[in-house]
Amino acid sequence: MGDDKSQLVLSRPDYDSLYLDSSPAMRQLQGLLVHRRVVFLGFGFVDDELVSLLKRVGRLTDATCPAFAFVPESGPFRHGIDRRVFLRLHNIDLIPYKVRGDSHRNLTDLLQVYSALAVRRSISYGSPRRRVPDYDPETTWLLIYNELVGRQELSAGHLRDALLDSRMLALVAKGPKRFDDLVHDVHQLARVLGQRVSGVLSAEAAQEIVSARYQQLQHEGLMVKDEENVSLTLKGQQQMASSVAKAELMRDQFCASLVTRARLRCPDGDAATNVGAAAAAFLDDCVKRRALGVAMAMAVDTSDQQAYHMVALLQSLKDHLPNVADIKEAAALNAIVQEAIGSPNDAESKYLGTALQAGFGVHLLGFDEDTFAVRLKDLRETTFVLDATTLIPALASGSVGHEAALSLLEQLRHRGCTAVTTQLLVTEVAEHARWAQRRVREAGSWQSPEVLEALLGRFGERSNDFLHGFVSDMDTGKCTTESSDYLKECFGGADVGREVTDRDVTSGLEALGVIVLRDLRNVDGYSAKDGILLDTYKGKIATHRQWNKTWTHERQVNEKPRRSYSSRGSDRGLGASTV
Amino acid sequence: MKSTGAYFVSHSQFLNEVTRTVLPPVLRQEAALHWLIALRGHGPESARAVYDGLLWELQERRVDLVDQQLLRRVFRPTIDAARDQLGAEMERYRHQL
Repeated sequence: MGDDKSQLVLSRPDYDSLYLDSSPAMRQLQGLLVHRRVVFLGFGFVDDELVSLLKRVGRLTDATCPAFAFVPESGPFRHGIDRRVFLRLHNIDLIPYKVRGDSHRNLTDLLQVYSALAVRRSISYGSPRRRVPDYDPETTWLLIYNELVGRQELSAGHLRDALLDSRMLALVAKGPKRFDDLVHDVHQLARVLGQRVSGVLSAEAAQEIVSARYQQLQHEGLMVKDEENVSLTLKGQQQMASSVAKAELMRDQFCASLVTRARLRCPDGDAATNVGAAAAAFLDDCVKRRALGVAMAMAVDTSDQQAYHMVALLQSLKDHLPNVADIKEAAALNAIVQEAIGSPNDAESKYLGTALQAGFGVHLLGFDEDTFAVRLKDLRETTFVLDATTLIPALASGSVGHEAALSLLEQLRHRGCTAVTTQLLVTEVAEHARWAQRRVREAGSWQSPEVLEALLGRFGERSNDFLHGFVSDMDTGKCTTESSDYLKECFGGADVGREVTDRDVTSGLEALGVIVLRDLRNVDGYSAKDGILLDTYKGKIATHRQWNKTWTHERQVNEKPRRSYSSRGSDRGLGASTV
Repeated sequence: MKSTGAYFVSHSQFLNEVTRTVLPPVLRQEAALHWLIALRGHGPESARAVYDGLLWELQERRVDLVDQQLLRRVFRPTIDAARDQLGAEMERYRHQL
C-alpha cells in the first residue's frame, strides 16, 4: 500500500475511553462500518468489546459488501469453517496468511497482490488518457517492415550477404549438394532478398550474387566443389561446428545468468532453475514476437520510457506464469525479466542483442509466419477487378502480353484471390475480338494487305491483340490459318460463330477463373448509398472526359464508375462486399 | 467470398485521378503480379533455419542489421504497435506496393 500510512497509535486508556458505547469515536466507527468499505490490518479480533460492537454493526451492513480483514492463519481462524461463521455473524470476510516464526512477510506479499486492485489515495484524477502500450506481433512486424524496408532505411548489403552465406553453409552442412541445386535454392532466396530488401532483382543479377558468394566461401576455404557436388571442407565443418557451439554457448551463458538472478530470489535450487528457464522462454518469445518492444526498452534513455515499453512486454508474461510453481516463483520471474531487459549484464546483453538482430533479419525478409499469415489474409480478402487491358491479352493467345496476363491469373487462383470483371468490360473485349474477326473476314485472308496494315497500325488504327496473337500462333504452328479455330481456342474451346458474342467472352473468362459481375446491384452489401456513389462517379468521369476531350461514347461514363465501385473497398471508407 | 478491399487492375490511372481516394484504387498489372509473387510462404522450418543462420553469422561478425541509432531515429520513444493499428499498418504496406 505504499507510503499511505496512518500515524495514530492508541494506548490502553485510549481504548477504554473509546469503547464507551455513547462515545463520539464509537458512533463515528459505527457510521464508518455502515457506510464505507473497511479493511482491518493487524487486528486479531480477540478484543471482546469491539468484536461485540462489530457484531451489532455487522447486522446492519450490506451482506454483499462485507468488510475485509487480513488475519494470521495460525490464530483462532485457522479453519475455513471458523472464518465462514465469522463472516456470517459479523459480515467481515477474513483473508488468512501464513506466519513463519515471527515473520509477517507473507502479509506484505499478499498486500502487494491486492494492492493492484485498490484505488490509491495518491492517484490524481483528470489526467489525459493514455493508452496501454501493446506490441502485437503482427502489427510490430508490419511496422518494422513499413518503416525500414518500405522507406529504404536499411542498408541491406551485409544482411543479404550474411543470409546467403549462412543459407549456403547450412544447406551444404547437411551433406554434399549438387552445385546446380545449391544455386537454384539460394537463387530463390537471393531473388526474395532482392525483392524485399534491395528492390527488384533480375534472375541474372541474383545468379551473379550467388556465384560471388560461393566464390567468396570457396576463397575462404570453407567450401569445395568437385565434378558435381559442393561440400564443406574440413575447415568449413570446423567453422560450422564452432559457430553452432558459440551460438549454443551464448544462449547457455544467457540462461545461466538468469538462473543466477533467480537464485537471489529463490534459494531453493530447483525453483531457481525453474524460474530461470521460464524467464529465458519468456524473453525468447518477446524477442521473436515483440522485438521492437525489447529493442526499444533496451535502447531508450530514460527510465519512464523504459517502463513504458516494459509494461507492453509484461502483458504477455501471464502466458508464461503457469510454468512456475507458485506465487513466489511468479514474483521472482516478474522481477528478473525486468532486470534482464532493464539492466542486462554482459551475457544477457550479448544474447538479447544478437537474437534481436537475427529476429529483425527474419522479419525484414518476411519469413515470419505471423506477419505472412496477416498479409496473405489481406490478399485473399482483396478482390481484383480486371480491366480489358488484362482480359484481352489473357484471352488472346500468342499476343504480346498473353503470358504475363495468364501468369497474373494463375497467381490469383493459386493464392485463392477473387478475380472479377463487369459485363460492360466483357462487351468491350467482345468488340475487340469482333474487330479482328471482321478485319480478317472482310480482307478474305490473314495474308491480305489490309490485315498487314492493321497489324502495322497504319492509317491510325490501334493494335489489336487478337489479330497479333492469331498471326503469332500461326507463325509458331499453334493454330491453323482459320481465324475461327484460333478464336475457339481463345474462348475456352467452344465454337465461335460468325461474330464473337459476350457469351463467348464470358465462357473464355470463366475458363480462366474470372467471375463476371452482371449487375452490381446483385452484389451482397450493395445499398442505395452505393447507387448514389455510382451516379456521383459518373458525373465526375463525364466532366473529366469532356475537360480532357477524351469523351467518345456513353459506355466510358457508365463503365468506369462500376469499376470504381467494385474497387471501392480499397479506400476503407466504404463497406465490404461479398462476391 | 467475403471481400474487405479491392483493386482495379489496369494500365490506366484515370480512376485515380477521378476518385482521389486515400489509397488509389488502380493497381498496375505488373505491381499486382509482383505483390502476388513476393508473398511466398516459407514455413516455420525455413524461418528457423534463417534465424539460426543469422544468429551464427551475427555473433561471428559482430554486426548489427538494425542499429540502435536507427531504431531511436525511426521509432518514437513511446511507439506502440497495438492491435488496433494493424489496419493502418496494412494500409501503409499496401501504399508501398
